Amino acid sequence: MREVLPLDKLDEGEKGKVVDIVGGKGFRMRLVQLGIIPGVEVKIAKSAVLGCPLMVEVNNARIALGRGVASRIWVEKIE
Amino acid sequence: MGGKDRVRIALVGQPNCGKSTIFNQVAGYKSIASNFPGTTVSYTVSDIRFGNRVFELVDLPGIYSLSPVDEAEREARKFMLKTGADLYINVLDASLLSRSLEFTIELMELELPMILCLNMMDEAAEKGVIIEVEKLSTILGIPVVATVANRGRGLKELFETALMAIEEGVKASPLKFCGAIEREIEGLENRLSNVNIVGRFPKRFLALKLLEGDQEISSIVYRYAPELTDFVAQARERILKEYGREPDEIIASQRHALAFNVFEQVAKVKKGKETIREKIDTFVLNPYIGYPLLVLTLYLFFSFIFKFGSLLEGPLLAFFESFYEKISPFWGSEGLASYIIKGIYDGFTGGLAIVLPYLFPFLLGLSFLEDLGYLPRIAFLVDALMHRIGLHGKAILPLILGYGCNVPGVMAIRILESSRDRFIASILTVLIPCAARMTIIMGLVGFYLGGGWVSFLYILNLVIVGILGWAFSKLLPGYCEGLIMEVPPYRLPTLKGLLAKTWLRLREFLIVAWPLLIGGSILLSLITYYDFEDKINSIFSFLTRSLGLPVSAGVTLIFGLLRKELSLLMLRQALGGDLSVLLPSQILVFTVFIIFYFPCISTLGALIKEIGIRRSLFVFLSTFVIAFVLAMFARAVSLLFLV
Repeated sequence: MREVLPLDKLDEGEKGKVVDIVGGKGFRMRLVQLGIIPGVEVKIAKSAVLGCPLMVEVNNARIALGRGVASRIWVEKIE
Repeated sequence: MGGKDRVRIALVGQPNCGKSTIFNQVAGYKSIASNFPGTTVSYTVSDIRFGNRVFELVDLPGIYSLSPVDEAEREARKFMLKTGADLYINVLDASLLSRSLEFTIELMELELPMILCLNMMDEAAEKGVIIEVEKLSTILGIPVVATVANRGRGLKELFETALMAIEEGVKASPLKFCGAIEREIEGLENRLSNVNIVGRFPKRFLALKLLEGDQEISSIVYRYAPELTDFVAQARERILKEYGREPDEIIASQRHALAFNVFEQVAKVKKGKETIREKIDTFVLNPYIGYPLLVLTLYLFFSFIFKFGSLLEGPLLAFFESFYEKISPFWGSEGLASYIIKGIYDGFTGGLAIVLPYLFPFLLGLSFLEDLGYLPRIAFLVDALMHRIGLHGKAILPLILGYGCNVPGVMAIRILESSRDRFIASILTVLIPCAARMTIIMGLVGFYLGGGWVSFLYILNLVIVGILGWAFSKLLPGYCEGLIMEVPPYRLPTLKGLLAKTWLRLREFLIVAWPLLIGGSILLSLITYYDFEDKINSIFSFLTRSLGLPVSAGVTLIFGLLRKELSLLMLRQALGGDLSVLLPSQILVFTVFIIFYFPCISTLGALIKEIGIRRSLFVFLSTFVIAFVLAMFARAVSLLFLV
């Protein structure tokens, strides 16, 4: 079953495939530049604790994302 | 090459891939390289002698793509489109090959003369990425050289290849996409054939930028060919209908697919185990451990500076004082000459005994934390706090850099995307006690009142910065976009790199600031000799009196505008060479005022460049009010605790 949810709802160590990025062009561009593009697989390297950002792994790079940012990236959970 | 005799080579690549490291290896240390994406915000140029040839090497700011989203990126793109170079070396972090190739593919669309430099091959290997360099070169059709820049490996070959590529006229040609998008691009390329500006930019590049909706390029093209506006709009509409997503996203996906395809052909990835570096982050970035660790790190950092500096300050001051008593009989204490000599002596020894003992360990420690890669972790940890004061985690970088010197701090605000963020960050950055102010805090407050008061001042400063940030973000409502930041791996700093970087920053003090300090001291001598001092001091007596400072401190406060340390050295001089005649409360009040009032002249210059003259004046004047209020507060505190 396809389960689509915001990135910040994934737990540490879980993986997801980016489905959609909700936001203006500038916002999408910043993410696209860092390799967060629809169709790409991301892994939660560190989940957000105590209001801190979360960290995702994309193609070997680690990207810190604020919670607000992560909630606008929709992913399909990969089991 | 347009008649000039020297070729120009430019380093271009994504942030933190090692451009500045390569630059420094061949140019001598001239460009600050740090383990933090976006350290280089403007470019550095140097002449390089290589064998019997001389060429110009340009270190461009790192950019993630050719669609600029901040000022530093705009700067790099402007260079490529307007100024230009004879050859571009596209530097790639080999451990991030797939993503780096996306940018390479974008660069190739510019049909530039370029070669590839696969840097950080050692890190790639550590991550289990094995790359076939030859094969990559064949696929892309341009030379590729593998390097490990921080060890100097492969750099000779890199520049040999670069110079050869210029002679052979190596030029990149763009890779093709597939499907409907490629047809739209080619259709638009055909329409562009008869547009005038096509001599300057490649057709395909223009077509892509028009379809992406790049504002800068679009406005240029439509000025020459207004009839294309509708054609592009229709093409964008068709793409949106075909794919269901914006054209810029489709093009990015295409580049991503191409890059990934190339990557799969040339690289083998063995599933690397979790490296030690990643394990460290489990602790450093865990808030329950991370925050205490951050406080501890900063405490140790400043204690180290204080211990090191105060160990030297006392003996040095005593030595210089007794030495002066021995030599002064030669010219006595009357007459103009003796005043001037005393001025030179005070300026020189002040720099040596009060400033340098603290400045050196500070710069060394800062370089260490930078190269290690701890700064982005600090940004990560304080993101939650920064949100409270209306800014996101990336705004911590200008503030951290501000501790070294406010000028690069203010320059770094251009990595922030919105003008509101830049304004708030600039006000906060100029309040950060820079290295110059740090020497006053350590050399005066720490030395005479003890380390506890040093902590008090730094914490007071942070509290004020927090309150002001909070207040401004309430006054200037705006949407805060949130943190998006790459966190690079830890890298063990090399001793050579650390020393070179410390020296580069120390040199700035030795050749710019120290002469200024000596000049200022001579000036003060002259003012005293001609009895101007009382006149100037009486103008400022409203200030010195209300703060409870000695009247002779008045003139020294003006000179803090040139260099903050100058205030301290001149105060020492004005008090007859002995700072210990100050009351403890006066020491505290003076230092608080110095920390917060008007940023120095160089900072003001940088500020005007970044946020304009009107806003700079506002910042300038408000710091005075803040400083005055806080100095009064410090006076009250000192009456309670210091008498």
